[in-house]
Amino acid sequence: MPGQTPDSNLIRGHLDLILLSILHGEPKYGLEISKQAQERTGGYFDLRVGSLYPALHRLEKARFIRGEFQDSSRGGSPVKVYALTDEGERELETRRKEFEVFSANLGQLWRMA
Amino acid sequence: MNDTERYLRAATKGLWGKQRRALRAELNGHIRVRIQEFMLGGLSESEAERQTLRELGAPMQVSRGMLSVHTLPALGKAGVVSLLVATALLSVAPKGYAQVSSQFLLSDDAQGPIDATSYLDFGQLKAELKKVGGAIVGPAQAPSISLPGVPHSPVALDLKNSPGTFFKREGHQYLSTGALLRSLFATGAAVRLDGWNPVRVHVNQTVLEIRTGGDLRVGNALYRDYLSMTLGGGLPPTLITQMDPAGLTGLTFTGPFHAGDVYAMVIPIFRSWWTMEGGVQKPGGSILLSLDINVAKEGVLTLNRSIVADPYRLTTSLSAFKTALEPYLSPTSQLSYWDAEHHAPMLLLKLSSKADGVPFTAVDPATVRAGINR
Repeated sequence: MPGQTPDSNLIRGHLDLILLSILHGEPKYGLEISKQAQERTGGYFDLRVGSLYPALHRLEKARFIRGEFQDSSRGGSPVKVYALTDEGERELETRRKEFEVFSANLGQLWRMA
Repeated sequence: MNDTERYLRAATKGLWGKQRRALRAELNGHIRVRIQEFMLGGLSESEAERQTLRELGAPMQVSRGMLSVHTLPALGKAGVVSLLVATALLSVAPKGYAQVSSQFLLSDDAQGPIDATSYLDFGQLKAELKKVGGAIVGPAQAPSISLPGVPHSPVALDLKNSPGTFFKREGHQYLSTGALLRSLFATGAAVRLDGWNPVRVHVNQTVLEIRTGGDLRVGNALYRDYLSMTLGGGLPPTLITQMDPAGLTGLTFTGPFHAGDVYAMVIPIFRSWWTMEGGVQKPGGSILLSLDINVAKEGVLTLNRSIVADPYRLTTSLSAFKTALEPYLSPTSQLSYWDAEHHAPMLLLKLSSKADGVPFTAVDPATVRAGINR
């Protein structure tokens, strides 16, 4: 939904799910993650650095993602690239299902209103 | 120091050693790649750097976020104080001021980030106290603090009573600012705080200037401890203080606020939990106090919206606040959230640094208007 951004509390509440979803597939570093969040949603998700890196470190600590420094494709300073672990894949699946059930039930409430 | 370096220092403030180096390298990688991208787009190197740093936002947001990530797992390793140290600064002290740097730490005795507090370099404190005619005296394991012109001096520094008040790290000794304040109160002198960076502690005619290095958490910890000691008995324990000078999540009040003065909102918050008793879940809970503190601009005070109780009503004095809060402190009170029939009593205080006056006065609710600005 271009031109619209979600409430910051909504982002905060679902940040882990957003990050795990973006990291599903190719490993990525912080800047790529934040760009993909924007590009793949037409600018809807604008992840700020202040919440992005603490969240990545939290997920790494929980062993849902693994980070390692690699030389960037543009040369120069190394970047820390994150990939989903097997545990992270399972976590993503669980959270995705939970969210779908939650969202479907919320939809029920609106239909009944 | 260039702008990127300044950003990296601020964003990694509070982290030690390996964690600090790793986060620094990670952010540096982000910045370098982004600068390259902007330069490929036609910007000069300095314009690209400026644009990148603007895009990154406030570095404090990163360092704050890291607080909760990198502290909790370090809890429980006995004898080691972990992480979260703000860079300390010490510049030339004005005459008659003892000026010490402070650091923000989470000790292993802490139960979580909310227990983290600020610390002073003990060696530096000793040296600075001499400038104002005071001293740290007595044996190293039981030191006392002496100050000129106070009713009781020296008074023992209370190091053993609370965990995490004193420790050694990398050749330095650190004393929690809370322990220092307790000792200063024990001298029987009027203790007052003012300012934010630095925070000035007035003990009669002596001024102890605590440089916070711009770390808001140091000011928060100091004012939290100070107000807990000043507000007196009959109140629940103080949980947290929080301030947000940029007013990013602000609830703005307009009224008779003076630029530069420090104000504190005393807010009761519910903490509820469940316990298992004989296989049955039973609700429990209590009220704790939150102190939301900020420095006012002329006519305007912004507080952190996220911890303001809702709905609320401002009370006219500390005693009126205590009276209004009392029914909710009873173990038989079943209330676990504020509602239309039960407005949270709140108290807005203006702090004063004058030793010959009261430490705070309640702001008259009739003169204040509230409105959410963001």
